[in-house]
Amino acid sequence: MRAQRLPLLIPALLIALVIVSGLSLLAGKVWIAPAELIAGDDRWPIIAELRLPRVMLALLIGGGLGMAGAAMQGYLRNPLADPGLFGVSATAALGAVISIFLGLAATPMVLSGFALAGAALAVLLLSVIAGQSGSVIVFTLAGVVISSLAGALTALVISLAPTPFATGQIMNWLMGALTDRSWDDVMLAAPLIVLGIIVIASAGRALDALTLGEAAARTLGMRPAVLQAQIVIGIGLVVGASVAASGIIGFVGLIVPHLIRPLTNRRPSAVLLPSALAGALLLLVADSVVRAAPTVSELRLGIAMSLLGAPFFLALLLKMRRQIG
Amino acid sequence: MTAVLEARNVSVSLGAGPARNAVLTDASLVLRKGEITAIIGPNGAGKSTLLACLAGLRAPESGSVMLGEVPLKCISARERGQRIGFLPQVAEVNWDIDVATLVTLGRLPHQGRWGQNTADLAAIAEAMSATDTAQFASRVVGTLSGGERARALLARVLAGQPEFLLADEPLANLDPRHQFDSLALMRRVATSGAGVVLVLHDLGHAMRVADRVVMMDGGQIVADGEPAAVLTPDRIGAVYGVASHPVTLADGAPSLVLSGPC
Repeated sequence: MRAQRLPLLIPALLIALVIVSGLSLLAGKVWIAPAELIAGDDRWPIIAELRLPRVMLALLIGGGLGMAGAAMQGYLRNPLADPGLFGVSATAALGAVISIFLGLAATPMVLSGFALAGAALAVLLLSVIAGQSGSVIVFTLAGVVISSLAGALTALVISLAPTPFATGQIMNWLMGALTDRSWDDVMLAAPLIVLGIIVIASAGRALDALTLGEAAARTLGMRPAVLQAQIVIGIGLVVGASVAASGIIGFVGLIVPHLIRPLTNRRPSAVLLPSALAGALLLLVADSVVRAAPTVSELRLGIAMSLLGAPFFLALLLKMRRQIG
Repeated sequence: MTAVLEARNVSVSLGAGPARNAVLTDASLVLRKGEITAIIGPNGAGKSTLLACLAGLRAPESGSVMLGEVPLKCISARERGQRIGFLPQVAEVNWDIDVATLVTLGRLPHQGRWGQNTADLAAIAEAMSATDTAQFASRVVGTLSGGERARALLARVLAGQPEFLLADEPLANLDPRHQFDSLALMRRVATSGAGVVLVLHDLGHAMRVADRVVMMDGGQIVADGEPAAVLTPDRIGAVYGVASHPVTLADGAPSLVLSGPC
């Protein structure tokens, strides 16, 4: 039984990623033609120091969020699940916002550290609340509680911000973007996101078993507590590191697995890797477009993704309603 | 292999505090390969709980479930999945997968991380041919009729080539013809060497098809033996409160007719 309805899905996505990455390095407010580069262009630093880290981050974050979304949907057996649902991104954002509030965010590592600490706290809380039960329902409700608490605390911090400047800085960061990211950001995010992706990938078989529901999955060898740990740790790493590097970028994890699923045999494990590749592709295209678009000030990537994602979500709901009706 | 699946003095209680009540008390039975065992009893008798214990889904509070000489709880989840197949009462199938993909899922406890090998593919093909599901392999499970769906779900379990097949009310929601077809298929599974355990509500089917009947009432096993010895009018009257009459069908097979409350 082949895993893909389209056997060339993964190669096609890889080729598209290579092409778009190349174009993204050349495109921007300044177009740098390849011929000029080979001829010894002095704008090389623009590519090496500005565009390359940004492309790397878009690939890592998009790939991580795409895969995390596919895993979440498989775990909750719900096509409307999103990695943001467990409160990890909201808590990571709270951590980052606190660092800005305290005026510590001038050093980028501090902001990332606070965001990662926030993500770790959410993961810890999730584990403590859901406990050893491995129950998906308790787990999801715990995520909703953590998410809304983190949201409320973020609003509190914003309202207490000492200066309008700090408020602006927080709001700006919350919108999510990949502007002015350096190799430091890449070096911090890359190992965590890659590790998270590996942890999630190792849950593939258990997610497949869950297709038949919790009881049948257990009789197929799925261990609920182990799977829950893989999901919590994998998503915590991916989402925590992503929020630390870019702020909140929504909808990637929701949209991408949907576009990919019909192209596969719909087994959760068959959706994971293509979702990572397609997530990377989507975020890279979106970021390249907002960067190269001839707008006065650059459109924030987080806003662009939400503008794209919300109508998509609505269309999805309407389609599901038609199927039920 | 002659390993048996065995429950030894298994007890289970549900609920907490004063509302706690025993749903299974001191149940013991030995299940053999090559046999069809029917577990029968009124609603709430503890049939599903016993089956869940045998499948490793529920840990008994006291007593133990043994697979061969080893306690089931000491066997890894994966090996348990390879050796005991479980067909739940209400089957859940997500993601609009097609029948071929569904059957493939039954191989999960056997297959390696990198997909199926030739033994896996052979087992899948055999399960689909035994259940006659290959003809609609590419159809989405949600579009199947009740009878087709029941066969596809059974093919999923058979693909795992379990030593014991435990099915919780496999005939629910099937019309009479499909019930007979399903039972014939279960007989073939038993003949091929697996132990088949069915929770049944239809006493006539139990009489006709089972090699052995285990009758439960109030969380206890009240009778265990050959169908004709267990399904006596007296016992059925005491446990179910209905009058029953053993009959012999035209082909010589024993069956049972119920005539109303007694």
